[in-house]
Parts: sequence; structure tokens; C-alpha cells
Amino acid sequence: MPVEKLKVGLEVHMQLNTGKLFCRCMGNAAENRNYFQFTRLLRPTLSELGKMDLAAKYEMDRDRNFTYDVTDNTCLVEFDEEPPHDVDSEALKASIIMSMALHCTVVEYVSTMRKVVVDGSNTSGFQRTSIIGIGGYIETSKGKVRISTVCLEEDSARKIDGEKSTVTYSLDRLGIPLIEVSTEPDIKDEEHAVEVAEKIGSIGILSGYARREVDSIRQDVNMSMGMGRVEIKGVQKLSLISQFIRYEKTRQEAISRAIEIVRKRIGEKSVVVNFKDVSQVFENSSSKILKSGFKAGNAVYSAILPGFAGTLKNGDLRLGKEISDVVKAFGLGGIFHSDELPAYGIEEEKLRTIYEKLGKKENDAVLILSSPRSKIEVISSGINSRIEKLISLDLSETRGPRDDGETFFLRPLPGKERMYPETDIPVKHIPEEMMDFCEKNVPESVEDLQKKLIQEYGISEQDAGVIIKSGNLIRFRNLASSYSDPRSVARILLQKIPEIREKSGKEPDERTLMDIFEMSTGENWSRFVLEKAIEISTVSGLRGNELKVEVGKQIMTEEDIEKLLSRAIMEGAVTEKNVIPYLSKAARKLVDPTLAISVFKRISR
Amino acid sequence: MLQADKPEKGDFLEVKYKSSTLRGTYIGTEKDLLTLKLENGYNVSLPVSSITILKHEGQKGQVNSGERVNTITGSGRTRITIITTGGTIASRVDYSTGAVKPVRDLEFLSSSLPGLTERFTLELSEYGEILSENMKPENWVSLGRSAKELMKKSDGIVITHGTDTMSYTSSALAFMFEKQTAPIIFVGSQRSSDRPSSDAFLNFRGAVEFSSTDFGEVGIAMHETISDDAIVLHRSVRSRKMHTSRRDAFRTIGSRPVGRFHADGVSLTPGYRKTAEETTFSHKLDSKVALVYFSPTLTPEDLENICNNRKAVVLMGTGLGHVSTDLNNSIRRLTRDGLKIMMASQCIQGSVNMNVYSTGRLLQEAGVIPLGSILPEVAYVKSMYVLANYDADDFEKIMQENLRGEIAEREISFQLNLGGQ
Ligand SMILES: [Zn+2]
Repeated sequence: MPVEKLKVGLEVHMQLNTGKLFCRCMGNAAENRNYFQFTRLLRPTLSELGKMDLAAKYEMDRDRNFTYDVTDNTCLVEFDEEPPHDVDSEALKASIIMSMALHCTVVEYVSTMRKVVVDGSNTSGFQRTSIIGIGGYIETSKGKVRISTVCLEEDSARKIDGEKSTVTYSLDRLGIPLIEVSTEPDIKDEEHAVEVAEKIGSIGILSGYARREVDSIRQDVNMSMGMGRVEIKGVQKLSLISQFIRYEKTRQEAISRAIEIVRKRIGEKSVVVNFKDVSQVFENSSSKILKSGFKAGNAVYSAILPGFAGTLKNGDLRLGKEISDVVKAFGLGGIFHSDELPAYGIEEEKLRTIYEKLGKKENDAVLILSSPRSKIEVISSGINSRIEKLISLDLSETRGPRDDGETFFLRPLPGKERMYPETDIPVKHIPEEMMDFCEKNVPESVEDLQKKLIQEYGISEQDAGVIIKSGNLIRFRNLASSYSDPRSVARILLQKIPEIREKSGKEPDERTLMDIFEMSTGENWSRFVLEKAIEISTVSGLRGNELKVEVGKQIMTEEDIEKLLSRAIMEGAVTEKNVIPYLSKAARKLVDPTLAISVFKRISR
Repeated sequence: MLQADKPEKGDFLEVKYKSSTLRGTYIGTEKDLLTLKLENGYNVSLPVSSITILKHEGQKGQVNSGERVNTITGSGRTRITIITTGGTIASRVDYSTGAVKPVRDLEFLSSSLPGLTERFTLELSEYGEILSENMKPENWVSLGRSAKELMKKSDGIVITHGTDTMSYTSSALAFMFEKQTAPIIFVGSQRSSDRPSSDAFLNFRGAVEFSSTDFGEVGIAMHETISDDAIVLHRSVRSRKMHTSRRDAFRTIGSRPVGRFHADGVSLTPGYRKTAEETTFSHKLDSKVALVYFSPTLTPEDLENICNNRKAVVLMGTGLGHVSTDLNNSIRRLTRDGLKIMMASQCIQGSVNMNVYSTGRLLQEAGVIPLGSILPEVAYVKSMYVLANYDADDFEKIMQENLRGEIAEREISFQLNLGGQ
């Protein structure tokens, strides 16, 4: 098996909380409203030698058109109806700070490039991007990981729906500045990948420029096991990075085994799949899929896949899925293959007819496909190039992440032939004052900061890490310095507030928290009462004395507990085991369990 | 950087820049900035003074194959000639240097327009590379002549032209052709054709479609809205570029476009001049005409200076057609000496009417010719044609006569909506 050592590199994309990169629109839409729509067609540009980028050609073959939803944070620049304005200087600063924090050489002159992307996610058909930092590194638990570049680029439009001939995007996200940090393939394994992504992300958050929204940090994972580079695009959850890498490892190993089987059967021969129109055979098939295909004017095509029997769907061998991914990418539902047939209402006797007609031998597989007549040529060529890549074990491609931890074929990898200068934006000199400002604002390293938090506040290493990562650093410092129990503050920030948010959709602001902490100190509240008070205040909006009264109404005081318990003990109605259920039932109030147990112990002695 | 190391475009370089080592293709040096295309495709520009060249190798044998030139394509029965004037319809990008070059390969162009070659035979005729803003009346004449010649063997003429002055050039041709055997359709693009989102392809397709109809006039084919949806045909003498950058910048003023092309095909609104059995063409234009935009500080001396050596002047006045009364004496003197002074409006939309206010009546008494709804630029071009082709005595009458549809006699654009959506 040609499986080599795993090589992994990452591209971490962070949205910035500044305005948009090349116009003066806001990063967020004020209203969630679609003002109007417009449509576009995109055509890949040709290189000097008449070559077309592979990924671009693939998109052209898919022949889709694009609809864009206009939101209030867009202008003619996002519509590609006006040339770009000057780069946003806050975003530029953020990218310089990031480069410095990652020990990169910062360029003195910024050149903006166009990276051709014709999947509709950019109205112009390209993404504007500039290198800001080159050649840095970060320290990790498994050694240095080199940073190849830090780039400043525009985010793409947000896909709303459509896999088929029309795709709809919202323009709200288009043009938000992104910092892209690319590492060299120095990452050792899947856990290491998560660590590196976390580190890079936390530096961004520390700088104060990272946007704190869902999906504001996205990772692309590059990996190879000697069968070509696979890029998994747009992984949003850190925890999924390791899952995707593991999935890919398994997938690639299985493909390699499947192809070994095929090779043993057919030797070094190349495989060409030749689809024939077999609509006649299936004319009155009871298969729902074929029926509705006929209704839509489709024809049924079938072809022999020589030597592939038992590799398409057989245990962990799943080449059928590899092929159907391409078919789906062209907007069809999928493909049937002999490893899974008869099924889906396709009759056995019709299959026999087809197998005979096509001359299927024992080791051959058969593909069956319902497709519009106009599309079969391009789909067939898509399937053929897929199979050619599979049997030569060139697995390089761009794959998409699925929530269940699996990945799927997205498009061919783009080549180098897709970058050319953005002629609408002149080369920009970074002024010295800006460099100085950035130098002064480089955030401390996560390690240093983590150590400092542990020392200063006596919190755990883990809490310190989460505080930094979750963007709670400044908040934590402010609150911890005004309350005697920093560990409690950490717990409230990291567990209680997320819990309240989950339940009520609301979150307390810093000012309210400070007031409640002060009240807690005065009233000598326990941790339990403090946390409840925060919850009550967040949900009900009560503050000050009103809050105090409400807390008293809802939570049992030490006196309450003592009164109830002493009677119950005398009556023999309570043991240490049922103290808490007993109390809550008897008083219909919240009980602080730690307090109740300690009271029980004290008075039952 | 050492002199001996002087690299040539396309060479491989390895340079030390601050603490980093960079490798890539040398693109060029401009204003003490050396530009390198890195292996990852990015360009970086580095100050020559802060780099050291570590390695320098000659080109790795990547010689460009010669440019493909394909001046005829398609097998359709309708023959369309495409005259290019520098407004490129297609370009290629040299990804190694980033240079954008026009494509002379019609096959490439039509390959991105499915179905075109089955219906049409397209032939390319290069007028020459000329920036739209440098087009002069002599260019209008020579372009008109080429169109007249090419019309003999073509069913339609498409002229690619920069959008900035397209209304001037196309209006000039409109006046020069009194009758024509084939449509002449100007086409341009607002997004250059090196971008995937270029409007050039669809505009071109629309132009080819319009050029195969019986529209016996000169028109402009451009986007109807900002969507890549429909292309509209504007009568050139009623059209104007109304936005600096939008792809639907061209508008028919005071009326609706003559034609529309979209997925269902071409539709034309009746009322246009049909193609004729023969062509009547005049190559005469008198360019001694000026277009003057009135502003509050325009003095009589300014006006007289501009009018010097001119035979006709179109004033762009305010509102219904007014200029400061300070200019009345000069105007009276100039018209008495034989200068033709006309009035169009800065409002662009609407018609000049110099009877409503006394200022207007006084100007008419001073000899100013009101031009109604004629667009200022069109009036300017029309006067060149009228000066060269009619008796001076008939000037006023002909200027106010609707020769080519330049006068919107009934304003039927009820919505004053310049911004579109
Ligand atoms: Zn904007």
C-alpha cells in the first residue's frame, strides 16, 4: 500500500470585527431582510496559454447561475458594480498585528491579488487577497509549527440554498475582512491539528480584532498520505478537525485497498466508462426514482465498470460513494451500482437484461443513472475523470465537511493558475506609524497569559485556557478584580452564563454582574445563591433590592433550612440521603445542597 | 541588489527579505519596488534596497506559444462582422505576470456563447486600438466608412467600443447613415472581460442577436439591469451613459429601449427604421462645434473665447434652458456674426422650453435655438453633421427636425428612476 506518513497543514480563517475590507459597509446587517435580488453568470478566465483552471472548468461544466440577496450592509462594491475602495485600515492593522504575533516578516508594501473562484461565492468571480506576513512560526507541545503566510482577504457570500442549477447567496457576509493563517505541513497528528488551530485562533481573539459570532473562525485542513493533497474546506468546530482527519485516513486507506483489488483484476489497463441509453429496458420499471426521472424527460443510462465488482459497496470499501459524489455535484440525485442491486424497486430481471446486453463479466460492476439527455456527456466525462484519478490513486481534491464527521467531494483542487493582480487597487505602502502602533499592540502569547492568570487568580490551568479561548479574558479580569473569589467568577463565565443563555437566550452584561457580586459580598451569599441570583436577574431583569427580595423568596436561607430540618429530624422523617428532596418538597423553594447537608450534619449530631 | 544580478521577466529568483527567504518568478521592477510572483501565486513587491538576491536562474523554458488569431468562426447563415475599436470583448490573463491581453481569437469568444456558431458566421475586422476617450470626429468618419464597406458582405455590423464615449460615436454614425442595409450595433462592457463576472459576453451575445434583425438604425446593446438577465437595444441618439460603473449604465432617455434580448429571444418594439435595399452614407462632418456647460461664474469673455473659430455651439443651460442674463449681449453679438447657438438642458431628462420664463424668451430673441428634448451630446454631434451636409440657412430648421429619432416627441418614460433597483 502506498500509504505514507500523514502530513497535515492548516489554514485558519478569522473574521474581523471591523467594517468591510474594500467598502465602507458594516460587517453585520442591521436588519435580517432581503431588499432585492439580482442574478449573475460567471465564466472562468483563461490563462495566457489558453489553459483553464481545473476547479474553474469544473464549475463551468456545472453550468449554474447565481442569485444574490441584497442586505442593508451592502453597496455597489459587493454587487461588483463599483470598483473597490481603499483597504480598511483597522483590518490592515489587525493583519499586521497577527503577523507580528506569529513571528512573521511583515511586508512593507501590500499587493492585492485576485484569486479566481467561480462557484458564485464572490460576485466578481474572484476573491481579493494580500500577503501581509511571511515565514513565521508558533510553539506547540509537539515542537515548532512554521507559518507560511498571513493573508488579509475578503470573506465570501453566504450560501443560502441550492445545489442544482441555481444557487442563492446572501451578500451580508461578502467583503468582511478575513485573516488567513496558513501553516506548513508540520502538524504531526489530529490532536496536534486541534492544538494548532486553537493556538492561532486564540491569538486572534487576544488581539481584540476577532469577530465573536458563530462561524467567525473557519479552518481548512490540508492533509496527505502520499496519494495527493486533500483540502477539507470550512471546518467550523475545532473538535471536528480531528474527526475529519481520522475519517479521511480511513477513507483513503479503504480506497487504496479497493484499487488494489481492481488492479489485480485488470492490470495496468486504463478504465473508460461508456454510458449507453437503456431507457427501453426500464420503460415500465416500478422504481420510483427512474419513474420520476422519465417524467422529467430523463433517459436511463448504464455502463460497465470493468473489474470493480465488490469494491463499490462492500464492508468498508465504498468506491460507489466516490462516484456518486460527482454525479450529485452535477445536480443529479445519485447513481445505482451493481453492488447494491437489486434494490430501490429496480427489478432483477431487468438487471439481468442489462447485464447481458452490456456483457458484464463476474468481476465487472455496472452503473445505472437517470440523467437529462443534455447532461449525460459532461456527467460521463466527470465520472471518467473521477475513476481515472481513483485508479491512479491520485486522491487530491477539495472536500466538504459534513456535521456527522464525514467529508464529501466538493470540487477539484484549484491550480496555481488562478491568481492575478487586482488592477483596481494600487500597491499600498504601510506607513511607519502604523507598524509602530501594531508592534505595541501585539498580544502576549497564550502560554504567558495562561501562566499569569493561574498565578494571579489561582484558577485552574484548564479554566485559564478556556477563558482565553472563549474571548472572556477582558471580562474575566474586570470581574475577578472586583470579587474575592476568582474561581467562582471563572465558573460563572464558563459554565453558568452559557447555561443561562442556553435556557433563556439571554445573557447578563458586565455591569449587572458587578452589582450582583457586590451584593453577594454584602449578603455573604454562597456560590449557589450567587449563581441563582445571576440567573434570576438575567431572566427577570430584576436588580438591586428587588432582586434581593426575589432571591429570598426563591431560595431557602440557612434559618429556613434549620427550622424545617430540626422538626423533621425529631419526627424521624429525614436521613442524610433524602435531605434535599425532602427540603424542596417541604418548602417549594430552591435548596443549596452544600448548605443543606452541612446544616443537617450540624444539627443531627 | 547587484547590477550583475539584473533579472529578466520570468526568471527564477530567491531573495532574502528581512528575516525571510522568498522564491518566485521575477515580474519587474518599478519605482524601486521589485515584484516577485511567489510559488503560491501571490505577488509581493519588495523595496530593492532591502533585499539580497541569493539565487538567480534563467527562465525555465516556458516560452509562450504564439497568440492564436482566428478571425472567422461559425457556420451559420447569418454573416455578422465585428469591428473592434479597442474596447475588448475578450481577454486572456497571463497568470505569470498578471498582464491582461485582448483576445483576437473569435473561436474562444463564441465557445463561451453556446449555440452562437450554429446560427451565425462571425468575422472579425480590426479598426485598431484606440482609447474610447481619444475618439475624434475623423475616427467617427473612418469607422462609418468601414461599416459601410463591410455592410456589403454582412447581414449585420457589431462595433465594440469603450463605453465612455460610445454615445458620441454611435450618434455620429446614426447621422451619417441616412439609410442602411444592415443594423449597426455598438457594444461595450462595464466590467472588463478578464473578470469571470464580466458583462462583455452577454452584451456581445445581445449585440449579435440585434445585428441580425431588420433594425435599420445605429443602436447600443448593453445590460438592462444589474442582473445577467436581459440585454436591451438603445437607439443611439436617445442613449446616454448614466452611471460611472454599473453594468446597466446606459439608458434610453425619455423613452423605452427599442429592443430586448433574453432567454426567450429578441423582441423589438415597432416604430424603428427598417433596413433598406441600399445604403445612403455621408462622410462629411464639420467638427467646428463646442459643447458648453453653463455655470454661475461663466463670463461673457469665457463664452466668446470658446466660441472663437467655432461655427456652432450647444449650450447646456439650467432647467428649461436658461443661462445668466449677463451673457445675453455676447450671445446676441455672436449670433449676429453667424454663429449658431443652441440650447439643451443640464437636466438631461425632459425637454427645453424657452417660452415659459422671460429669461428664455430674451435668449430666443438673442438668437438662441431651442433644441427641445435632444440630448446635449447628441445635439453637439448632430450640428457637425448638419453644418457639413445642409445649407447654413436651413440650420435651425434641420436641427429642430427629427432626422434619426433623436427627438423624443412624446415623453413616455413616466418613472423618473435613474437608480434602477
Ligand atoms: Zn459595501
